Amino acid sequence: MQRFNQSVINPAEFVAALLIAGSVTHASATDIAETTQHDYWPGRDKTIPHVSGDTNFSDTYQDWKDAAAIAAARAAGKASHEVNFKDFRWLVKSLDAELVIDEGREVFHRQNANGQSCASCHGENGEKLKGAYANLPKFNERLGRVVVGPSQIEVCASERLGQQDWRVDTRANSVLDMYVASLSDGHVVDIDVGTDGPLKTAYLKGRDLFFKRTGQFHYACASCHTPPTVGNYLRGQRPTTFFGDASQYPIYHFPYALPGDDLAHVFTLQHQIRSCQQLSRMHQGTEGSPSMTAIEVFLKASANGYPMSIPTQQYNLDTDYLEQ
Amino acid sequence: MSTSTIKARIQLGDHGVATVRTLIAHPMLIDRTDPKTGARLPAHFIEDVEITLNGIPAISLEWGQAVSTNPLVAFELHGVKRGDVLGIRWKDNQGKTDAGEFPVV
Repeated sequence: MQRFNQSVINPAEFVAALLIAGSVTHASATDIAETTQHDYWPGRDKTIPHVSGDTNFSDTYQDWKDAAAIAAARAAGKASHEVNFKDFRWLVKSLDAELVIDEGREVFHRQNANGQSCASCHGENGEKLKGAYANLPKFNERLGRVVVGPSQIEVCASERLGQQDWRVDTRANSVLDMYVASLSDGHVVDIDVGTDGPLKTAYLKGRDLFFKRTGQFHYACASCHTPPTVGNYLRGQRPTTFFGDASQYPIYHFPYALPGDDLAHVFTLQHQIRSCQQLSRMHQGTEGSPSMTAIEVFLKASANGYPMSIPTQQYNLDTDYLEQ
Repeated sequence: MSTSTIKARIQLGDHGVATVRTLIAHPMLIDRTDPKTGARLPAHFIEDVEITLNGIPAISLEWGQAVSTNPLVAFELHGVKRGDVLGIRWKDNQGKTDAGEFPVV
C-alpha cells in the first residue's frame, strides 16, 4: 500500500495498517475503503467539451470535421480507418430507420382517452421540438436532475398523458426518442457545460466514469476509445474516439433487435453504452440512472459544434476499401 | 417521395448510373401456426415486384417466403437521367398491391 511510503502517517491510518498487518480476521470496512483506489486511463485532462478536442487525441480531425472535409479526404484516397472511421456514418442516411420514424410519428400523434397526445403540446409533427434534441441532455428544473431524451419522454408521458407504459427501453419510448431526435437532424449540438451547474457536474463525472477502469478486464471506456486502439479493428468493430459520434444517436442498429421486439432496432446512446459495457465485462448501467446520464452528458458535450445526423447508417456497407 | 408502403432514394451518379434504394413496408410472413391456439396463420408475402423506368419494365422480382419483413432492395440502374420517373409496383399473395412513382431529381 502506498500509504506506508508517506513521510507522515496519521494515527487513523497507522491503526488501520496495524489491523491489517496484525490479523486477517479483523479487516473492517474502513480498511477496505482506504485500500480502494480508482485507476484511470490517461487522458482525462486532455478532454474538452467540443468536437475539436479530437485534435488532442488523434490527428484526423481535419479530415472529418465537416462534409467538405470528408469529401476531400475521400478524394485524396484516404480509407475509412485513416479518418478515424468518422466517414461512413456521415455519407449515408439510413433508409430502414424511416419506418421507425414513421412509427414514432404515429406514437407522437396517438391520443389517449382524453384526446391528448404529444402533439397537443409539442405541435403537429413536432413543430415545437425541432432542434430540441441538440440540447439534450439538459437540466430539468422541475425534476431537479439532468435528463436524457428517453427519461424526459417517460416523465412527460406518464405525468401529462397518463401513459404508464412508455418507460425507458419500451418500444413506444424508443421509437418516440428516434422520432424526436429526427426533428433535430442537421442542428448543431450545443450542451452548455462551461457554466457552473448540474450539467457541468454531470460532464465532469461522466468524464471520470469514461476514463475509470472497471470490470473483469479492468478496462475503461477510454481503453478502446482513445489512441492507440482507435482506428484499428477490435472484435469485429471499429473503435473511434468519443468526439462527434453522440450526435448520431439514437441510431438504427441493424440487424440487432431489442430483446422481445420484432422491428424497432433503435439504439439510444445509453443502449450503446450498455452494449459496450457488456462486451467489456463491466456491470451494465441502468437506462436513465444518474451515472449513465453523466456519461451521456460527457459524450454529447464532446460532440458540441457537430451537426446531428438522424437517421444515419450504422455500418459501413461500402466494401470498396477492401479491394484497395 | 413515398407512397404508404414504398420509400425510394435515388442517387444519380456519373454516366447515367443511378443507385436506387427502396424500402417496402410489408410484414412478409411465412406460413405458420399460432403457438397459443394451434391455428394455421397463412403466409402473407410479396410475390411480384415490378420496377419500371419511364413506363418501360426494367427489373422484375419474384419473391417467396424467404424474404424478410420490410424488404430493402438496392440496385444500380443504367441509362437514367434527370427527369426520368422510376415506377415501383408490388403485389402480394393475398392480392394486395401498391405502387409508387419516384422522379429522379
